[in-house]
Amino acid sequence: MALAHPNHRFLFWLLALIPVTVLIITVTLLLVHLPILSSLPISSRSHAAVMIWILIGSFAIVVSIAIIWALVDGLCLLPLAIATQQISISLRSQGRYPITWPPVHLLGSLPTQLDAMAAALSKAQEQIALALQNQHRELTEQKAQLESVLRQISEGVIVCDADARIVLYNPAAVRLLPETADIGLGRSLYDVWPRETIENSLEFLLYCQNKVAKPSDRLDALNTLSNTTDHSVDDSPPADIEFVATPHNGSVLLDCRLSLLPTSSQLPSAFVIVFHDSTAQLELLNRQRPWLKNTAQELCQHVANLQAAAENLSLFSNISPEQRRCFQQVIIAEGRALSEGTQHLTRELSEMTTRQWPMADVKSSDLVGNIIHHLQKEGGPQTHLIGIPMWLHVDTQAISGLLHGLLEKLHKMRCQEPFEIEFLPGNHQVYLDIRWIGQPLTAVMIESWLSEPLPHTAAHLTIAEVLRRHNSDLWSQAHRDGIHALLRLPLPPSPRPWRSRVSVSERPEFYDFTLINQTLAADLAQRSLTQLNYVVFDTETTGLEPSKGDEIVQLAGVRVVNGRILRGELFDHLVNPGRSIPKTATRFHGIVDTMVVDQPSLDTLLPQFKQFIGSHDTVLVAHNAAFDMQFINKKAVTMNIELPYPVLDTVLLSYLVDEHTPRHTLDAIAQRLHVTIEKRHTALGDALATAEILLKLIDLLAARGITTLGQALAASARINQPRQ
Amino acid sequence: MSHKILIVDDEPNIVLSLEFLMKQAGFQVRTAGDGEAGLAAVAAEKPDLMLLDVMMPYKNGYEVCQAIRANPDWSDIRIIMLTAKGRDVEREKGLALGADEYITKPFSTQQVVETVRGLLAT
Repeated sequence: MALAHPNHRFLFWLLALIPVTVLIITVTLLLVHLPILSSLPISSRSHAAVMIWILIGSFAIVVSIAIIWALVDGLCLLPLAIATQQISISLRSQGRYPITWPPVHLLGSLPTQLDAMAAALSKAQEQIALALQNQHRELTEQKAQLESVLRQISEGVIVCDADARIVLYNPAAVRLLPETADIGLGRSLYDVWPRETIENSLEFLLYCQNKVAKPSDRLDALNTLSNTTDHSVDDSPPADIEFVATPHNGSVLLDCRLSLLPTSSQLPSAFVIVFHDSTAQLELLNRQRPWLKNTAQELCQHVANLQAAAENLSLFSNISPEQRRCFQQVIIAEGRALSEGTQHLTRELSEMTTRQWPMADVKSSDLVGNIIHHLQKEGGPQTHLIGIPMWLHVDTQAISGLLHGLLEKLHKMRCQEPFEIEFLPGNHQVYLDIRWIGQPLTAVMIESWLSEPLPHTAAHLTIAEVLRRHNSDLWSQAHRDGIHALLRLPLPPSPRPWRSRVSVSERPEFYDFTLINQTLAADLAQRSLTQLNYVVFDTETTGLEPSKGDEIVQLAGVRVVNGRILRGELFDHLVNPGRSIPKTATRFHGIVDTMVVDQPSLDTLLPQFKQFIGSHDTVLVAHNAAFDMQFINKKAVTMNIELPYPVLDTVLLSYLVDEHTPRHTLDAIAQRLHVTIEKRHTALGDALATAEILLKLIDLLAARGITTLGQALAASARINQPRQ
Repeated sequence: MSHKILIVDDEPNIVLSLEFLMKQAGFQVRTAGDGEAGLAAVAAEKPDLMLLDVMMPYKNGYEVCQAIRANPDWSDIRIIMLTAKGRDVEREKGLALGADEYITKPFSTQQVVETVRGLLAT
C-alpha cells in the first residue's frame, strides 16, 4: 500500500484553489472596474497606489492562505497519513511494530489512544495464541492417552467409514487377523472380511435404526389406541449385532460385535467392529459337548449290559454252564469297557474344569521375586529364590497368595529359616518346592490347612480352592539329602514356554478420522491431489537396461493416505533377479548375490506388491517412474497381471514446479525441499524420501494451479512430449 | 510261608472282592475299614504288603502311608495305593509320600495280583 492516500492531501491542496480563485476573480474584477473607480475623485498616483496595495494585499492573502494550508497539512494531514500507514503495518504485525509519531502535531490524544489500542491488540492476540497452544497441548495429551488405551486393549477394534474403508485399527486387530491380511488405512474392509456378513449386519442395524426415526407418529398411534402415556414399549433399536466370522485366508473364529457410529442422517454411516479370538473356546464347545453326550450314552449302554448279565446270573439258578460262561464274559467285557470309559471321562472332565479359570503366563522369578520383596519390606520370613526361572501358566494372584500364606505357616511352625524356593521341571508340570532344614510336615497338618482362608487374597481364597483351580495338590516330603524337608506344589507350565513376547511393531499411524468425511469424486482424474491415496515406490536393479536382461533386486513401497506417510505399512523386499549382479550395480546399492539368493523372485513378489497397492484408486509414484515402471511392466506382462494405476513421476512434478532449475536428481530436489534422505540408494530409503518430496511438491503445484490428478497427468504428459 | 496282606479300604464291596482275590492267590489276608483301624492292625501284626485306599474317614491313605514310612520298623512294608483319585498329581503325591505303587480305580484284578506278586518277589 502506497503512502496514505495522496488523494486526500492532493484534494486538500486543491481546495486551496478556491480562495485563491476567489481572490483572483476579486482582484481581476477590481482591476477591470478600476476605470469606474477612477471616476472617483482620486489622483492617478493614488490610483497606482491603490493598484499596488491591491496587488500587495492579494499577494499577502495568497501567502497567508499558503501558510495556513501548509500548517494544516504539516500538523494534521501529514501526521494522519503517517499514522494511517503505521497503523496498517501495526495491524499486520499484530500490534508489535511500534508506531512512531511525528514530534509536532495537532492530533491531540489520538496517538496515545492508538498506541493503547495497538498494545491491546497485541496482548489480545498473544492471549489467543497462548490459549490455542494450551488447548492444543491438552488435546494432544488426551489424544495420546486415548491412543495408548486403544493400543492396550486386547480386543481388535476397526472403525470404518460408510464405504467400509478402514479409518482406524488397533494393534490387537493386526495381531488377531491372519498375517496376510491387508489391513491399513484407506483400504477396504472387504479385503479382509467377507462382504456378506458385514453388509447383512449393517442392513439389519440400519433398518432397526430407521424404524424408530419417527417417534412422534408412533406415540400418537399408541395414545389413540390405549389412551395412556405408557412408555413401556421398548423403542430403542439394538445398539449392536454380534456374529462369528472367519476372515479371508484365515482359520480363526472371531467373535465380532458391530455397531453403528452415531449419525444424524438416514444414510449408511460409519461403523465400528470389536472382535476377539474365540477359536479355542468355540472349538472346545464344539468338540466337547457332542463328545460328552456320546460318552454318557455309551457308558449307559455298558452299564445296562453289565447289570442285565449280573442280575440274570444271580436271580436264576437254572442256568446251563455254557450260558453262565456267556454271561460271565459279558460281565467282564462290559466291566472293562466301563472302566476305560470312566477313566477317559474323568480325565476329560478334570481338563475342562481347569481350563475354565482365567490363567496367564508368568515367569517364576517374577512371581516369587515379588513375594520375597514384599516379605522383606514387612519383615516376614527370610526366603531365597534359587535355580533357573521357568514359565508358568497360573492365576498369578492366587498362587502368590498361596505362596505367601504357606511361607507364613512355615514360619509359625518355627521351621528353620531361611527358606529356599526352587522351581523344578517335571513331566508336564513345574514343581514349586519350598525347602528348609528339618523334618517334613505331616499330611495331617497339611490337611488341616486346606480349608483355611489365605489372608492376603481377595475374597479370602482357601488353599483347597487355589489347588483345585490349578488341578494341583500339596504335600511335604523329605529331601534326598536327608537334611532338608520340602513342601511341594506342582503347577501347570506355560504351554508355549519359550515363545518370545512378539512385540508387534507398533504402527505409529493407525487412524485418520478425516477419511470419514471425505466425499471423493468418482472420477479419479477429478480428485484433488491432496485427497488421493498413493503408493510411492522405488527399485534397485542389476543395471539400467530392462530390455537387455537387467532385473530388479530390491523393491520397496510406502503408502501415503490423506497426506500422511504411513510408516507402519511398508513393503520392503529383496528380490532374487535370477541372474548375477554386476559389480557396477553393487557399488551403487550394496546388494550382492549372496543377499538375494534365498529371497523370493519377482514372480512371487509382484502379486504381493499389487495386493499392497490395494484398490484401483491408488496412484503409483516414483522418482523417474518411467525407469522403474519398465521393469515392473515387463514382469507384469509376462505374468498377465494388470496394473491399472495412474503413474506420477516426481522428476516431472519437480520440473512443473520450477522449470528453471536444471537439476532434478533425487538429491537435488531433496535438498531444495529440505528433505533428508535416510539410507540413500536403498529402495526403502529412496521411496520414503520420494514420498516426502511428493507431499511437498503437491503443495507447490497448487500454487501453480495444478490441483487435481487429471491436471497433473496432463501437465506431465506435455513435458514428456517434446522430450520424446 | 505265605505272605501277609493287609487291605485297608472303607468300601465293603471292593474289600469283598480283594479279600477273595488275594486268598485265591495264596496270601493270608486281614482287613481294616478306615485309616486308624489300619494303623492299629499294622501295629498288632506287621504285614508284608498293604493295599491302601486313599479316601477314608478318620485318617486318609496319605496320612497312613506317611505314618508307616515315618516308623523305621515298618520301612519294609510294601504299600500299594489303590484309589479312585486318578489325577497325575494325586499319583505323584502318593508316590512321594512313600507308596511303592499307585493303582487307580477302576482296575483289572489280574493287574493287582501281578503287581502284588511283583513287589513281594523283590
